[in-house]
Amino acid sequence: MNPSGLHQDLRHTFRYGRMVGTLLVLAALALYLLSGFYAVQADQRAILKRFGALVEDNIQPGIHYRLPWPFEITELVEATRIKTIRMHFGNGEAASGPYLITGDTNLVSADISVDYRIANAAAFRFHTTDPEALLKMELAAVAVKALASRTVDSVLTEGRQALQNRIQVDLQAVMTRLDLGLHISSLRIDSIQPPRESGVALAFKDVASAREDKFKLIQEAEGERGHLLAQARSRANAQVQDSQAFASEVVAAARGESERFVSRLGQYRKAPELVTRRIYQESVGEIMGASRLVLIDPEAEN
Amino acid sequence: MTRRLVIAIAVALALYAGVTSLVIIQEEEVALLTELGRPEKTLDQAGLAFKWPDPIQSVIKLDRRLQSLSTKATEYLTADKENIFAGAFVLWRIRAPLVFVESVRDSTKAELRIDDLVQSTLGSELSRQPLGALLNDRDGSRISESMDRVLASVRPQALRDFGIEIVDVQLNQLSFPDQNLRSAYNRMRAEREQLAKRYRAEGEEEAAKIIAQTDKEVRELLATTYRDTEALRGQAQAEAMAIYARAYEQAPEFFELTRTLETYQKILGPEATLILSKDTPLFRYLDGVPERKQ
Repeated sequence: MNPSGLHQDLRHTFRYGRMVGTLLVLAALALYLLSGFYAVQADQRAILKRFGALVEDNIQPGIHYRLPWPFEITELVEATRIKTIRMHFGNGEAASGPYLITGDTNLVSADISVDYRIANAAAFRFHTTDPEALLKMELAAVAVKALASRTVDSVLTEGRQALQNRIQVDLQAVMTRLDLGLHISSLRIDSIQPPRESGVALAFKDVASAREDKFKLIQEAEGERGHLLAQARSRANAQVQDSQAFASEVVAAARGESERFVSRLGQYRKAPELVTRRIYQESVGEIMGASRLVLIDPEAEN
Repeated sequence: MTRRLVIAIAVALALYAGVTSLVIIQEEEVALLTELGRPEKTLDQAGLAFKWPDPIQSVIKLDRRLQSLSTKATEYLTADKENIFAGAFVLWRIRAPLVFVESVRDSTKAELRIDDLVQSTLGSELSRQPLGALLNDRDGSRISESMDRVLASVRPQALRDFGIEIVDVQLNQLSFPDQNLRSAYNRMRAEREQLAKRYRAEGEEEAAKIIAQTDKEVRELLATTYRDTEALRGQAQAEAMAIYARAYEQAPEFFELTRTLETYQKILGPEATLILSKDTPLFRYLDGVPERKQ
């Protein structure tokens, strides 16, 4: 090999290598700068921090640019998706809290679910260490207070809806007061029941059927009452009809007889002797014709 | 060669100094600057800060966010000697980083201390009042008031001793302890049984009342009807009598005659047997042809 040729080769290679090196550095720099592009998905919001300090807290979906690490960083928060937590208060393995106690010192088990979403990404991220764990604790606290001020009868029956509303309103108030960045979109009491142990639930059911029995007894009595009243009315009506009939008869008979009398009286006035005799004979004849008759001779008897 | 080594070491030191004199404080953090191990000041502004390089000045970073702590739920005795099972949670944050670092240093130790403090305060608060006073309230404000008292009592101490601000204390568990559950169940069941009995008795009472009321109404109705119908009969009879009277007034002696004869006809039927004397005027022609009188 020729030393000068080698030298030339080396020089050539070196020059080429420097060019490649420069290109590589430029490419790396370009890549570094390009790494500042980031995408925010439709259900996300981004938080931008510069040297750790919050700059923007509500970056909308789309492609954005920031200065590359370590100058600026972004954090993505799933802001619009609705999430659900469920809590079971009661006995057993699955319970997230013990039985709830009511104002009249009864125990109830309850299942409550909460739908929520992140309303403020920065508050969600920077105000508490674990907003979702805190949400559960606050839900339990609100439920404890709400139950402690109500009777067991009310929460198991007509007061259930009011209880549910109360818990939701109170929970949202706490979220707002602590500025957790969470919004409660809905809250449901999925079930609320007396304990199953020691026949308690059965006793509660029996109260419900006793209440039905009460109304059944009253209804039966009302039915009986209707029947008895109808019977009495019909009897009374029959009596009224009867007496009206009697009254008509008596009056009609009196009128009839009186008219007959008046018409005979006309005759009588013309010839009193004769009419008297005739009437007497007619009547007595009729009577005697109809009855058995025994004649006796008072002289013969003596 | 040694010159190069010196330069290399100088560059490395400069780099090290450059890197360690820059501090990035995150939005959720607060930093405590120490100088030769001695706390110097608090850096509570998020962003870039400068300091002398380690080990001259260094920083301890702490979480400034609200933290939650569940105290261990346990049994308490109320003023009326009821056993209750209660648990609370505490919301706290580091307020005075210097005091915090000097007294408890890290969150785990801090939580142990808060737990002790809150539990003992909660115990004495709960023992001050009967269970009935804690419950049975319009909007649960009794529990809120109690918890506010617990908060007011633990707050100054936590701030002074641990540099911790306690923001809120809330009861998230309130029930009966396991060994008291059975008697609670029995009491609940007995109450329900009594209620069921009462409902049924009320039903019977109500039904009996309805029947008795009905009976009364029926009797009243029949009595009124009797009164009305008797009155009607009486009026009719009076009217009939008046009609007879008018006839009588026209000719009393003839009325007597016809009425008497009609009465005979009514009372003397086919079954009657009449025993009459032959001397009765009706039979006066029975003995023979009458003599003609003057």
